[in-house]
Amino acid sequence: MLKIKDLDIFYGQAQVAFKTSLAVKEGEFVGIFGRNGAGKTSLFRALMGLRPPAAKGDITFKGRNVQGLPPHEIANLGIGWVPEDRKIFPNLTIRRNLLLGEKAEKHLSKGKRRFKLDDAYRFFPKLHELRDKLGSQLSGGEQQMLTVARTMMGNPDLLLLDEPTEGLAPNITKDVLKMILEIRADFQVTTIVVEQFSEALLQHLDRCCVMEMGECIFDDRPSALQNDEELKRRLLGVG
Amino acid sequence: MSKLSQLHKDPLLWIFLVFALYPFLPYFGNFISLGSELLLWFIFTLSFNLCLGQTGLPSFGHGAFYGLGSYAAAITFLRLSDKGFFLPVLGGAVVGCLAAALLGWLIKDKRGVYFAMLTVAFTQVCFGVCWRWDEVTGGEAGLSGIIRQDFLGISMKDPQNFYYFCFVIFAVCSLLIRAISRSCFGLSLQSVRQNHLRSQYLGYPTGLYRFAVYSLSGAFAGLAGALYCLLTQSAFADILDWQKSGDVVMATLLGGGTASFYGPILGSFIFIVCRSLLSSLWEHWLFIYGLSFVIILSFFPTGLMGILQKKKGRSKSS
Repeated sequence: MLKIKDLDIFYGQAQVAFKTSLAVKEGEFVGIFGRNGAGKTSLFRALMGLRPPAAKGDITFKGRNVQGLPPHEIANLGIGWVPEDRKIFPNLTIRRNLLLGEKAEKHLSKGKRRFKLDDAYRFFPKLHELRDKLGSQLSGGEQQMLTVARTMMGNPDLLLLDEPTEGLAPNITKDVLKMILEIRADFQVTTIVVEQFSEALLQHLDRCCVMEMGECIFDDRPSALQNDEELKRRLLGVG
Repeated sequence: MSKLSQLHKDPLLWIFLVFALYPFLPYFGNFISLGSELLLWFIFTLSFNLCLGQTGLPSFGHGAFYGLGSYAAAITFLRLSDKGFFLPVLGGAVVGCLAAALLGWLIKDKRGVYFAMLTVAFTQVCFGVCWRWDEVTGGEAGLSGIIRQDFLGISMKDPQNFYYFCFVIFAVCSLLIRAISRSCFGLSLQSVRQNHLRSQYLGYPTGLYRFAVYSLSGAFAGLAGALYCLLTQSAFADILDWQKSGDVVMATLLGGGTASFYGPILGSFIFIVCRSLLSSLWEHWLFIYGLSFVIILSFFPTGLMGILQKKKGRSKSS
């Protein structure tokens, strides 16, 4: 579904990713781990066509080279991005935030079950409760739920989750993660999740990569990373 | 049925009612032309607010489309049409739309102060052309000799009949602009206003949306300009001056266009009434108007409608 080959990413003269390659098959749940500054978010920004950063290399999505396309075209091809800082629309109600995520039928894959407003409310009952409140009136956890639900409203074929539990209280983290896993199981959406490290997430992944200083230094089954205490300690500062 | 029962809560209905009775109101009823000007200013400021309040486009040169619409109506009336109303009004809207589309296409990806300054520059270019192009625009002398004829058998020479002609156009335009604001397209414009990048990665071609709303807004502004031409039965380059664009920005912000659909109506009512009535009482009326603007906007950036909404504890988006 997604193939990244030899991708270099730059901010001005500074290079932040070096010959990064990654392939994701349909239905896969892939995790990308790495410390701050490893290039994870830059990779997602490059995937979405956002500038900066500038990117050089090949990004193929559903057989089409998307490198250089504007963000809206990439989004309409079926990539949904949940950014790390929960970019909601603060002056719109929750309901309107969600409706903004909807895409025209021509942009959606045929024959797939659609994620609709009712589904958003079913997975995140809190959003239903708060549907007439403004985005700015939500807590961090609720904003995160809204961002995930809004992205799902666009029925993406590939979901990019950028540190979805960052800055959330432990119990909220658990809830958000549970919802994400339920949505994934229900709608079979191919997902790439970026985190610094998440033990709880590891067991649900099909594959995981580790990035360091802009390079992908590990790409294997989660169990391999789980068992590699040295790598976890050295690269992720855990364990 | 429930919609019908809620109809009395619709502010637009009350605005329609007040202005339907305007010619019969005490005091104001003596100033029919003022009423007509109010109505076309409502259209003008509502069109401008599609850009500023709805999309966040600081179009500080909207007077260009108003002025070009006025000239288009005058030229159509004097040279092309059968002295009817339809072609000049349509001509004003089409020319306003085309001019806005041309400028909009060029600057659709510019933001903030760059967008604002380019629109001001465009207005000054239009002003310069109209001021100097004697053969077409009459230059400094402008175009006159536009005499309002009958429309559907009703004499438009009668100011009251012309007022109701403007009223019908205002009613249609305001309903249309409100429908646009509340449509999916309008919602998308709000997202572009709040954060164009967020909108982009949700799949919205923000440049195209900005272009579309700018052209649409130009059409309504051109239409208002055409009505102004028919009201004054002339067209002069003065209305293309940057000051006209400033007036519409001030009226919209003072009324609270960024907080409410009805803000531009309130703002233009205050501006036109102050300009027409207060100015006859005190020549330095602009001092009071400007001071009020500074004080209100300093303490309440969302303008008068923002204050009212705050009082009611209601939010704009609910």
